[in-house]
Formats: sequence, structure tokens, C-alpha cells
Amino acid sequence: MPIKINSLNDLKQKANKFEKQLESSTVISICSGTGCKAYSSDDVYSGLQREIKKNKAEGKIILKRTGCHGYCERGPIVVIYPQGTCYLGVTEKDIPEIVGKTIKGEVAESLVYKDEDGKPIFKESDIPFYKFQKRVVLSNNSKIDPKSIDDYIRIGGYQSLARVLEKMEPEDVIKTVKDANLRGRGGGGFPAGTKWEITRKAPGEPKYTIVNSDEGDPGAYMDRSILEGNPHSVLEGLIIGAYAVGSGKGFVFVRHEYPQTVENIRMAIKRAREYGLLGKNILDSGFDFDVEVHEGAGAFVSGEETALLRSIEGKVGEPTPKPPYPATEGLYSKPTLINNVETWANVPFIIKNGAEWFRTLGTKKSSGTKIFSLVGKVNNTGLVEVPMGVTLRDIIFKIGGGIKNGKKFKAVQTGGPSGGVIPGELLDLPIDFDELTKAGTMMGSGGMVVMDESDCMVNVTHYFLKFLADESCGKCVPCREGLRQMIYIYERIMEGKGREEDLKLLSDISMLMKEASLCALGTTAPNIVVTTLKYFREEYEAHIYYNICPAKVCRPLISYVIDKNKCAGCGSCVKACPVDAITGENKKPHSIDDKSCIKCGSCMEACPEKYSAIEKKTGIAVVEEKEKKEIRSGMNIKSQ
Amino acid sequence: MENNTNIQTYLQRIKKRGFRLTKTRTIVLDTLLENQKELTAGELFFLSHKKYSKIGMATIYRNIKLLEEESLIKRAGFDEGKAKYRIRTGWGPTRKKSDPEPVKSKLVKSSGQIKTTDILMGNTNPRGTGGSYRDVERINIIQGQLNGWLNDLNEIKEKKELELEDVIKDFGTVDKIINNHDNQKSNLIQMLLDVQNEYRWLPKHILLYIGSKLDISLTDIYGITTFYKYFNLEPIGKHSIIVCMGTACHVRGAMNLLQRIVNILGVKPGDTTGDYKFTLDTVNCLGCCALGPVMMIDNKYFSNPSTGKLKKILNRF
Repeated sequence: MPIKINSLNDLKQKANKFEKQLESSTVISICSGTGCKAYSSDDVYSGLQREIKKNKAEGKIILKRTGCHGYCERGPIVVIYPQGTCYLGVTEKDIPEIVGKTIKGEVAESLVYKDEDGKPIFKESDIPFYKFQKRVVLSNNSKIDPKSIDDYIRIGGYQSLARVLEKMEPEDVIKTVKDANLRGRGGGGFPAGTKWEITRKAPGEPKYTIVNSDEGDPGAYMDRSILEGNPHSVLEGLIIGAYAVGSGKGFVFVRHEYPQTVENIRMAIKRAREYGLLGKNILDSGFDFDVEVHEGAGAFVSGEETALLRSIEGKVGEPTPKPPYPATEGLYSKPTLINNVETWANVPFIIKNGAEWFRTLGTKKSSGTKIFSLVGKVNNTGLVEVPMGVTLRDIIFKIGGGIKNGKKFKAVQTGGPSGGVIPGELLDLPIDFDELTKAGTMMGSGGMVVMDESDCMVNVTHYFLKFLADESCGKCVPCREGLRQMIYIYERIMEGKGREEDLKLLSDISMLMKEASLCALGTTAPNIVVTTLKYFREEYEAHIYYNICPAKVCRPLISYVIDKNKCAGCGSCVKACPVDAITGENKKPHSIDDKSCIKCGSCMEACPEKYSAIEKKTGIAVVEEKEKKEIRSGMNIKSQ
Repeated sequence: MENNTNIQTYLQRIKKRGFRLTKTRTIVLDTLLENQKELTAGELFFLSHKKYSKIGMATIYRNIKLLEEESLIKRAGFDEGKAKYRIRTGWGPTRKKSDPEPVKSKLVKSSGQIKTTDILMGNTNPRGTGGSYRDVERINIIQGQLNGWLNDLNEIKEKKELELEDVIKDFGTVDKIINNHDNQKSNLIQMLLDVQNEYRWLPKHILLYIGSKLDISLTDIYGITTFYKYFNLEPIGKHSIIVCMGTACHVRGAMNLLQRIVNILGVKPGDTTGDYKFTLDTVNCLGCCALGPVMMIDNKYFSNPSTGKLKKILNRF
């Protein structure tokens, strides 16, 4: 039965004890984030367990499952401590080698990262992906087992909370957070200290504190990694915040689509209660606070703070007008402090190292680090934590390793569906809250989707508009109707039936939605339209005036063609075609019937590489004689 | 409980009001008349179902509501939180001014039980068959409502509703779920999540039950289940296939992957295969962007399987 922890000293003693327990052993840690689990890291874990037992090495080797390491492209990731040796892409057949070498104190060279010259890099922190990052919030993910509160305590966990409860008044805490200039990491960027102060001063009891983990941006999974890989850090921040504003009850609102995360946070709360770190009289200080987990049920708009509050109240998760803001009138109309997971996770570090330390990271107006999920057409997909002010170019090329398959960079989409695109000429923009907003996009919660020359901006914008229209609550006309009408226009453009006035119409609707929508979903939805129109207008014009899709994506505007000179008549494509559109005699060049072709691309995939006889063409089947207009940048508009 | 005269009066009143006695309603009333004590909805269902198997829980609830509105039955106390009903004997003012004549005692059967149909078969209405114009109008309205309800009932049956024993068991499970969330209205979404985890979908009789226990109208419950995408209001397949359509997967070819799956299964996203083996769905991000495009079957992930590989994978299930 765990004994309650009563003071900062208790925590320090426990930390020393746990650290000593590890001193004489070697630790093999394997990443068990959802991403690596999808790569069967669980099977690797069981395999390692068996192998260690087989070699009777349980006394010398401790096997641990950790949270997400972030280098998701190369999972499953295994790290050996205390050396810090990192093995990438571990599969079950590598297990005997890993265990064998670790027992002997040697390194399994074949599994280690190799740079361009083939030189091995042994330590995780030296790998280029990690070297250029500044890991603060994610730093501990690779060192601890998220299901173990003892592991968190071992690395100094909950000591910030103890310090706050023993030595600081609530006003001092608020002052520290204000001085640090911690801005909300969920996308809004509102100064957290100010929000805390408003909530504290607002009249009304009881006050609530909420963790917003309803991370709905597709392609973004920073919050999942924090909450799943180090749930106690978020809890610690939450309790500190609750103390600062005088709240006795908290909620963690987490997506149902993150089952591992839900399990980990529930377990963390249970363990914290057992140690007296949650509940009545926390750490013997007289402060009471407890937390409940609420799961979302699949609505993107419920991540908006007012919609989230309605969801917790058991109602339909639709946004309500602001003001009043949740800080004054939130859950059940009481003052409610609601912050994003990453914001909360920063708090223990700020208390531990001080506001000044936090301000040394980042830029003048945006202090600290930010986690980005770098995904799409990059070589190194994963979670990246950098100080604010690092340029997009550095993130994509230095950390991300450049564009996959040697293609050319086209644009990077930031901020999820609420953000816009940034073209190549703006790659040297420093990333922080304000710079990106000036460029027309926003940093948002940290999603960063890299696109190359094979992505069509019209198609991508249509994709985001469809997503937003699907997720829109439908309450206000500008958002509900604006999105729908814009989608009709895009569908016409993608079919080759675009009209001249479409572009002006899109701008007008965008302006209307920005001014008149009820919540941020509607006001930020036009960002993608406006930025793609601004930076990629020639692509739209090619679709409208010439019925060409330069990136060869929009199905009505492309055709798959078999090159008669290259085709050997092997028939692989005939088998692959789901609609039997390919005909031809054996060993003679085949041909595709454009009318029945559904442009799925299966034939191109099936064609053996030595022939590579199938290619995509645009503009052949549908070019009409239209009055030619001048296009902004001289683009080669002949049939490509 | 009631003496014979009151029962006759009661049945007279039913006919006088132009209240159409269908088979189901007759059985419900019979059950109440036969049993000397008050019955809960569940007990009523159990006993009625034994007589006529085409009665479902939804029918019981509907009829209880209707009969209550018509002041033919009333709520009489609670049994562990469940309302109990019995035939209503005390009468307020009626529409017709003259009191109905008592029915001849020769209709009383030897067992002492009286069947409503007997009374209707015999011409006991002192005003003769037919009725006033208002009665006919009322009959038509009620008939229309009834047809609507019968259609609902058939729809539910066609959607593979559960058997009687399972229904009774269900309420025990649902009671546990409601208790786990402190019987609070505000925890409705959490309760529905648990129900869906248990049954893979939200059967209508369970929604009605939760509504009646927590005093939430069915409209409000449907408002929530139709707003949040996670909830299924129709039975779904044994295995769920989910294709990620998040941005990262989209740029890596999620649409092509979806097309390949649709070609093999023959169903669109949101639909279930005819043999109820697979349900195909899309989500907006699974959080494993490095594997994109990702497909998930139950809780196993697959990264960009080709058509051939897909066929092998699907055969495994």
C-alpha cells in the first residue's frame, strides 16, 4: 500500500532512492508511444523480455517501456542507458543481438543511425534529428515509463509542486508565470499568466481548471505524446495552476480516439491520489484538488474552449459567443481556467528553473520552446521541439532531413485546418506566434505538413474545406454556408469547369467568414483559401483557364497513358485495374480507355519498374480553345 | 383491487372516448387487469411479451405514455427508482354527460377474469356502434399515429434487435454504467461512450432506458448521438476498418488506399458489408503520421497495404 508523500524532502529522498536502484543496472528502454506501437513495439518488448530471461540477466538489465521519443519515422526506438546508445527501426529479429551486446557492454552497430557518409552515430542526442532541437517538454519522455509514478519522481517529478505549496503564495505563482511570458500553446497564444490572474480575480465559486487535450488537428499529435508519454508532468502543472487560481476541481478532456493516452492519464491520476498528490490535503499543505477524466466523442469543434465546456456539461459541443470568456464565466457559468496540454506541461519547468530561464529561450515576444509535428513529404517525420524563433528552413531541412525522394519543396502548411500555407520564398521566417500570423497563416497548435511538387494546392485547400465543413457545428450562417459554397466552387474548378469570377468570389466569401463567424473555426477557415490564392494563384488559373492540374492530382484533369515504346505487354496493369479499363494483346503494348478509367493509379503502381511505361498526363483529354489570359508567373502551360 | 363494476365502467370509457384498442394495447391493458399489483415497465414488457411476441420494449414505453395521457393508467409509486403503473380507477369529469350503463354480468367468465375483447365483441355500448363525428376524427388521428409507430417497430426489428433475454440483461448492464457515472445527467456522453464500447452501437431500447432513468428526453439524447461522430445508431460489423484521412496521410495517398479498400469490399465509407463482417469508416487523424497512409482494423495498424496484401489481410479476419 503506497504511503502518502508529505513534503518536498520526502520527494527528494524518494528520488534518490529510485535513482540508486538503477545505478548498478543497465536499462534497455523501448518506445511505447502509439506510433511505435503501430510498428509492433509491443511484440519487440515481449521478445526482449523473453530474451533477457533466457540469458538469466534479470538482475543486470532492467527493461522499460517509455513514452514517445518523437523520431517516429524510424520507430521502434530502443535506447540503452546510461550510455544513451540509440537503436532505430528495431524488429523482433534484432532482439538477440541487442540483448547479447548489452550484456557484454558492447554496441550493436548495425542498428545505429548512419549519416550520409555511413559513419555511425551512437548517442540519441547526437543524431541530426535531435541535435538541432532543444528538448524541454519532451525531454523526459525517453527516460521514464509513463505508467510509473515512481519513475517520474525519480527524475525530480512533483518537486516543483512541493516547492509551490510550501514556499509560494498563489499570487507569486501567477507573477512567475506572467514574468516568464508563457503563451497558450493550443493555438491562441494568449498570455497564460494574464488568464490565470483574471480567473483568480473573477467572482464565483467553485472554480474549475481544465486540461484541453482534444487535439483535433489532423496531422498533429504533440499533445498525445505529452499526455501519453509523461502524464504526470501535465498533472503537476495542472495542480500548480489550480492552486494559483484557487480551484478545487479539475477535468482532463481527452479524445476518445487516443485509447493509450486515456489509459495512461487515468492511471496517472490513480497513482497520484495514492501518494496524496491529488485529493484532500495535498502534500500536507491544506490544499484540496481532484481531477476527473472526460473523453471526447469525435467532434473536432469540441476542442474550441466554449464547446469543450458544453461537452463536459453533457450538452452538444457547440461553441457559444465570447465574451463572456471562460475565465469569468465558464463551466456551469463559474470561473474556469482552461489551457492546452503543452501549456500545462511547461509550468513545472518554469517553476523549477525560473521565469528568467524561460525567457532566455525563444524570442522577445514568444518565450520558451514549441513542439511541432513535422509530417508529410519530409524524410524525418516526427515530433520536433525547438525554441521559438528557429526558421522553417532549419526545421524542414536540418531537422527534417529535406524532402522525401529528392523532390522539390513546394509549401508547408502550418496550424492545422485553421492555418495557411507558406511558400518557398518565405522559408526563412522565424517561427513564433506573431510572425506567422503576419504572413497570413498561424502557428496554431503546431501541425506542420510539408508538401512537394506532387501536391496540388487546389486539391489540398478543398481537402481542408471539406474537413471544416464536416466538423462545423452549423450554428452560424457565415461558416455553415460559406464553407459549403466555397466547396462547390472548388469542386467545379477541380473538374475543369472553373469560371473567371470564381477567384473573386472566393476572396469575398473569405472576407465575410473572417468578419462574421461565431467562433475561431469559421474565422480561421479562410486562411488556407487566402494564402493559396496569394502564393499559388497561377495554379488556380491553370485549372480554370487551361484545365491543367500542374501537380497532376485532380482526377478529372489527368489521364493515365501507357507509353507504347516502353510497354512490354506483360499484363500486370490489366490485373490491377479495378474497372477493366486496360486492353491489349499479350506482349503487345496495351492501352487505357480514358472514359472508363477512374484514375486510381493502381496500374502505375503495378507496372514493373524496369518498364515504367505508365505515366500521368494533364491537359491532354480536356484542353479546349479558350481565350488565353496572361498568367502571373510564366509557367509552361503546354500539355505536360 | 377493482370490483367488477369498475372494470366495466373502465372499459366503457375506453370505447366512448373513441380510443381505438389495437391488439398490442389490448394485451397491455389485459396484463395490467390480470395482475393484482402495480407493474413496472420491465415487468409489463416481460408478461406482455409472453402473450404476444411481437411486442418490443419500445412499444411498451410508447403505449404506457399514450395510456397515461389518456388517463387510462397511472403511475403508482416507485420500485427502486423504476415507475410502476396500474389501471386508473378514479375518474375526473368525462366528456359525455350521461353515465355509461353497467355491463350485464353474464359477460363475466367463470374464472372471474374479464377480457376487453369480450366486451367489445358484445354490443355493450348503449349508444350503439359507430360514434359521433369527433370520435371518428380521433380514431383516424390515433390510427395514423399507430401506423407510424408500427413502422418504427418494424424498422427496429429489421435492424437485428436483440432477443428478449438479452434485453432484460441489458438493463442490468446499463444500470451499472449509469451508477459508475454517479447518475449525473452531465455525464451522459461518458455513459454513452461506455454503452457503445460494450455493444459496438447504441440500441434504441437502451437509449430509451437511459432517458427514462435520467429524465432526459429522447430528442436530447439523439441530439448528442447525432452530433458526436463516434456514436453509431445502427448495428455495425464485427470488425471495424478505419482509414486515416488526416493531412499527412492525405498527401501520402490516403485516397488511393481508400479506393483500393472500397474496390475489394464493395461498400462506401460509413457502410457495413452485407455479411456484417466489416464496417468501413474514415477518421481525421490516427496520430501515426510516419506510417501514412494508415489503415486500422480493430486495433491493428497497417501501413499502405497494396491490393494483394489487403486481400490477404481481410481474409485473416
